[in-house]
Amino acid sequence: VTLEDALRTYGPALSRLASAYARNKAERDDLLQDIALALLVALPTFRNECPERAFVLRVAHNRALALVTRRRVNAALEPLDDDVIDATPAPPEVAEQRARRRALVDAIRKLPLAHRQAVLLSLEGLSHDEIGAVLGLNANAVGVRLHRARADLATSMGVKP
Amino acid sequence: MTDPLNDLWTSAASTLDVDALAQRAASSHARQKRLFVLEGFATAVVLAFWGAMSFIAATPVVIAFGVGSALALAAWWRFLLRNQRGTWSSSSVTAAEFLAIERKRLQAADRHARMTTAAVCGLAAVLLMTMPLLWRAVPGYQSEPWRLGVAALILVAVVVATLVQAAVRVKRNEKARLELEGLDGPGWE
Repeated sequence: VTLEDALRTYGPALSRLASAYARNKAERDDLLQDIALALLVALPTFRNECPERAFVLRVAHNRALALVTRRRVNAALEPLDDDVIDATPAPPEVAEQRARRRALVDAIRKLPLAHRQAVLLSLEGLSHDEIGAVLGLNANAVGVRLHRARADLATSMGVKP
Repeated sequence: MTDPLNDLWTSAASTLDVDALAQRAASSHARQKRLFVLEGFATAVVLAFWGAMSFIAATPVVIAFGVGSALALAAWWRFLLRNQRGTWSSSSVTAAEFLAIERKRLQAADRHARMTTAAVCGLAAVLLMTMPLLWRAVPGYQSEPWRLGVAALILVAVVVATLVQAAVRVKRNEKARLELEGLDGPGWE
């Protein structure tokens, strides 16, 4: 798998992931760049021990964790520009969906890291086993973490868990 | 996760410019490699210089500088390689393994901050204590005492700067620990 292939296939997921960890647009761009660089180095070592998607997301999550722990400036959590989600003009129902999506992104960005990781992977459609492969947890531990994360997210979003 | 949230999340459009991102990653990787080679070359030059000097003028001072340079460069390379390994080799490990690596990195960073501070403060203390000896031994200093005052002020400033830097680093490491709290369960320090 080449870097270009990986970015084409998983680019949207990586972009969403970066939006969930970065505090502003510049940081998001830096994180995406860092993830691309890490993938360039890591992809040749991929030996199909886990699904390719889990491998790519694992690299991306690790770079995001590194960003969080090495962040020098305690930058405030800024709302990301609309272009992170979509900036094209749209009819009211689409605009409403964008607003809900923005609320979802904001709620995810406020979750504790452990919950954020689990929720992001789950939202990308990974199974418990795949999430376990990314996080190094067994499926039961993933289930527990996801249950709590889901409850937190539902509270933030004002929806039923 | 409930399906509506999944759909809502994955419906986000991506404005990712794949080709530009891949190109930037490739050039960044090439630049890192060049820098690594350049640092290796600079290390070899410095070691060769002090090696040659030790051979030509085998005085204790030159040999001490040579050994000092070699030790300093060894420490620098250890730092570079560990950093490189920590950055790239750990990228594809599981989050739990990555967390263990981060924990070690933070411990090492704390230790490094403490050791650097102790070394600088110790050296400054020795220099400050030997200043009166210098005052008496070197005639020039007696006629121009301000030089000694300036030297003492510089030493104090270096000590204060080192202490402040160490405090900032330790505080940042503490913040990083708090950020990661919960990822590893109750075992996390």
